[in-house]
Amino acid sequence: MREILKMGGILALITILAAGALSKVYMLTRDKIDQVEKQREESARRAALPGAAVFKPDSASGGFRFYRGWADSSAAGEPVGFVVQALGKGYSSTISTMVGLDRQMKITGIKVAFQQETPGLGTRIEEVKKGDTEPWFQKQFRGKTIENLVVVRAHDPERIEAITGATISSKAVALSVREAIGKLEKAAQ
Amino acid sequence: MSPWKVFVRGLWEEVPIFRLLLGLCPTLAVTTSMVNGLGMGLAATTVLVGSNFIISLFRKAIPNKIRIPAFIVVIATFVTVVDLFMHGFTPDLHKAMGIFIPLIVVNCIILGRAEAFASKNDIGRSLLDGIGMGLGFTMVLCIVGSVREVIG
Repeated sequence: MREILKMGGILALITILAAGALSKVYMLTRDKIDQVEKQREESARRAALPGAAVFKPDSASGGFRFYRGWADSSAAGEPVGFVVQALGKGYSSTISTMVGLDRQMKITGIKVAFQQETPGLGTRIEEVKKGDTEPWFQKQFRGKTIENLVVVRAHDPERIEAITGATISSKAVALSVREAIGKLEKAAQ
Repeated sequence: MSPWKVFVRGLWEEVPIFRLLLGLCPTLAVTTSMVNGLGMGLAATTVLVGSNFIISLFRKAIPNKIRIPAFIVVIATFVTVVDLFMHGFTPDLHKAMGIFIPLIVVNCIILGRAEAFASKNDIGRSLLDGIGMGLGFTMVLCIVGSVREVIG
């Protein structure tokens, strides 16, 4: 009994020292990491709504947040479109996707900003085919409206083709995008 | 064994992966390109050198019975430090390696060197051992990564 306490005590001491060191490093890197994540979000917004140069956040009732994008940097007049963040429960992570829409609520592009799906399967939502510049799965969303966002197993230009072996991740993206557009339609009116 | 011998052992005679057959999982996972291999190698080397140093420093204070959990705590701490720094300063590499950075904790080379070397040798030799083994690991990852990048 005394030995257990002694061993436990030593192990507790080691973990306390480790935690202390980690909290120092965390404080040191926190600002830099925040900055990196902000930049990543910003570039995801640009990729989702390529026609816009400047974005301004807006929020509707119920805490729903979205961005309006303008083509010229003075942000005057009517916005060219909207960007909204979609969150979907994937297979092993919450997939965060930036969805860009024009004023007719047609998708201008989507960009997965965060995911930790299974390497080689679910991570293929970000797979870029050889000779292409953007992920083929995400490219399918461009030009579609909310009615087209149905995941199917075969190639279909009117709908969304699932990734083989990663139907859950594929559906998570499509459903979360649908949901986000639905909320935006209400909020942006 | 001379200090020089301790250092070069990891580069040829006991080079991880090829000779010891340790660390095959990260090897398969991240060597899709040379840069990823290099990044994983350097990240693992940093952790290995750090953990070898700390474990060697406290080798007399850590009781034999709880050495493995103690080693794991030390290694996990270093991995988290590396993870945070990579997230802040090399975000693209951090994204490319993704889940495999936290998995350095279970890299068997690191625990293997802690158990087989650092817990029995002085600080200087443990550092040399860590650097040698780490560079050997990095070298192999770069070679495999280059081959896979070209062949696809």
